[in-house]
Parts: sequence; C-alpha cells; structure tokens
Amino acid sequence: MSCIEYRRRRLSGIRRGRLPIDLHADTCIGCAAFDRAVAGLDAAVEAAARIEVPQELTQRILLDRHLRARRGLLRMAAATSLVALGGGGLIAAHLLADRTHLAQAALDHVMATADEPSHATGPVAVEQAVQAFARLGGRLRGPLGEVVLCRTCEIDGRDIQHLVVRAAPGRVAVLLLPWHKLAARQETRRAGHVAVVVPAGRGSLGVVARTMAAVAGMQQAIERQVDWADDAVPRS
Amino acid sequence: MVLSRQTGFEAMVRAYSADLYRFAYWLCRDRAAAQDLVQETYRRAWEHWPSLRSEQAARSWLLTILRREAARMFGRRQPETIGLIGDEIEPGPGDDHIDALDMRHALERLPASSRELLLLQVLFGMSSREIARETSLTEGGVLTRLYRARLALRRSIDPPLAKPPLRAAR
Repeated sequence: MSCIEYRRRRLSGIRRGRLPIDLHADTCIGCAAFDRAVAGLDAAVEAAARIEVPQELTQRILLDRHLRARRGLLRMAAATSLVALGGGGLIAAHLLADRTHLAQAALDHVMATADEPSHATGPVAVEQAVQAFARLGGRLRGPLGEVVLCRTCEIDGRDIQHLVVRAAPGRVAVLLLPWHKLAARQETRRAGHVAVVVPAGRGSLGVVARTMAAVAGMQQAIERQVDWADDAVPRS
Repeated sequence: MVLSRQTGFEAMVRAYSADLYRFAYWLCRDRAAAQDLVQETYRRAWEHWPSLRSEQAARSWLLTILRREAARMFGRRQPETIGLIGDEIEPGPGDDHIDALDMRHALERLPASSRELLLLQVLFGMSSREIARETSLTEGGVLTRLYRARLALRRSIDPPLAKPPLRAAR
C-alpha cells in the first residue's frame, strides 16, 4: 500500500485496527505521524463540536408530538361523531374532550415555551398587563407581582395573552383565554407543574405554576386586584 | 424490524435528538434555530414514519430529513470546487492540548459545506462512502473536502509548518 493510498483510506473514515491499514502505519513513520495527527485533530473536533444540549429538548419534541396527537384525536372524534350521530354526537365528543382539555393545553403551552430565549427576560410595562386583562373583560387595579412577560401566543390556533409573573412563591404563568368560557374549573398536573383554568370575564383564566400553593396565591391576587366587567368573577 | 410507531418514535427521540441538535447547531450556529430544526425533523419523521425501513436505518434517515429541512429553512448551498489530496496534515506543536475554544472558533470559520461533511464523519462516524450517499457527492469529492476541512482546521489552530515530503510509494 502506498502512502497516498493509506492516507486516502485513513481520511475516508477507516481507522486503525484494520489490515492492511495497520501494516502500513506500523512500518511507515510518516504515515504513523499522519495517523496520530488526524486522530488528534478529530478528537479535538469531536470535543469542540459536542456542545451542550438543552435539557428540555427531548421533552419539547415529545410534547409537540403529544399536542399534535391530541388535536388529531379531537378532530377525529368530532368528525366521527358528526358522521355517526349528527350534531348531538359532536357536542358529546366536544364535552368529553373538554373536561380537562383547556388545563392540559395551558400546561403544554407553558412547558413548551418556557425554554424560549426571549421568554420572561425582564419587567414589562404595566399598561401591557392592563390591556391583556382588558381583552378578557377585566380591569387590573393593582400589581400581581413583577410581570416579566406579556405577549400574545396561540393555543389550539387561537390567540391568548400569556403573562409570566414573578411572585413570592416563584414564577407563575397566567394565561388569559378570551375565546372559550369554561362551564367548570379544570385542573391538571404533569412533570412537576400544576395548571388550573377557571371561567373568568368573557372567557377563561389559566394559572400554571410548580405548586398548587403558587397557583392559589396567584388566583387570590387576581381576585383582589382585578374587577371583572362581565358576570363571571373567577371561581377557584 | 420496525418498532410500533409511538414506541419507535420515542426511542428515536431519546437516542438521537442530542446528536441531531449538535449537528443542527453547526449547520446554522444558532441554538434556538437548531432546536426548531430538530423539532421539525422529528415532526416530519412522524409524518413519514411508514417510509422508515428499519430501526438500524433510523439515524441516517433522520439526518437526511434534518439536512433537507435545513436546506428548506436556510437555503441550499453552492457546491465547492474539488482538488486533490496532498500531504499537508502533519502533527502540530500542541496536538495534545488543542484548546476546545480555539477549535470551536476554527470550526465556525470553516466553509459550511466542509464543516458539515467533517461533522458527519466525526460526530456520526460515517465513512466517506456513506457521506457521499447522504450528500449526493462523489466519494472522491467527499474525501477532498474532508481533507481540506482538516487542513483548514490545522492551519487555523497552528501557524503553518514546513511540509515534510511524502514518502514514495512502497
């Protein structure tokens, strides 16, 4: 084997330990040095390329799949009901799916967006929070804590207001969902998070935090600081 | 054997998402974009699950999807000219202690297409033949780019050295 052939093979990804590669490297000083140089360089490249992977990456991908699967199931259930049972079936399917759907969707949304680089980076203007509550028919009279995020997001393809409040028990997410008014409170827990959604103003109000105490604390703060223009005061 | 869709998908996410993320990062050099790219890759993988022939083919299948998604998201790159393999990769003075940060900067300065091929080989252990299949290049073209990539890294890390002559063919 010539040196050029050896080096070509070495660079093609064939490593030491395979004859006749070994034979050549064992007897050619130049190619043995070449082998060491390539191995050293590759090891350094590999070490440099192995950047830190975000811990939540796997969870984010699986969550995305879970959300899409659930949307698909809901659509399928609705379509099946419509075909088989007509309008009554559709309502039944919707009610069944709706039992905890909004709380789960709120929890999913908060977990899926928590790792975004732009997420909750600093205090936001009070006016933004006031406007967010106003969309739901609420008048924010006083502080709920330090609001570090206030933006429009989407759940199930519809706009919501997503606030993150830095309060005494830690960060709490408040989701204002103007497009659907729940008939009853929904609660769900997953992966160390709790989500509670209650009817409020013209729609529903979701609170997501790591503990039920934090959720309850925020609900009480909202109860104290928000006047609801519509009939429904949040019922926790 | 192909696993059931849900089980197989979850296993595939756990097994390959980290490597795919690293590869995606080096394609776009943006951590948030890399996460989006990997998530979109798995979304496509789920949609096209029936086209996965076997569990063993999963990794290269995902890589193909990721590269296509990257091309879709960031635009296709122009191929580079191809030369011949020389003999300039020689040990540098500080080979035992190549600083990871220096190497990271050197990797960043590499042309994107060369960096991609090098990472396919170094991170995924692919041979030049497998890379050629994946990238639709000739094997010779892959070898040349790999060589040039290593050479550029070497020059980037160490000052140029006098080249010892290549020994004659035995």
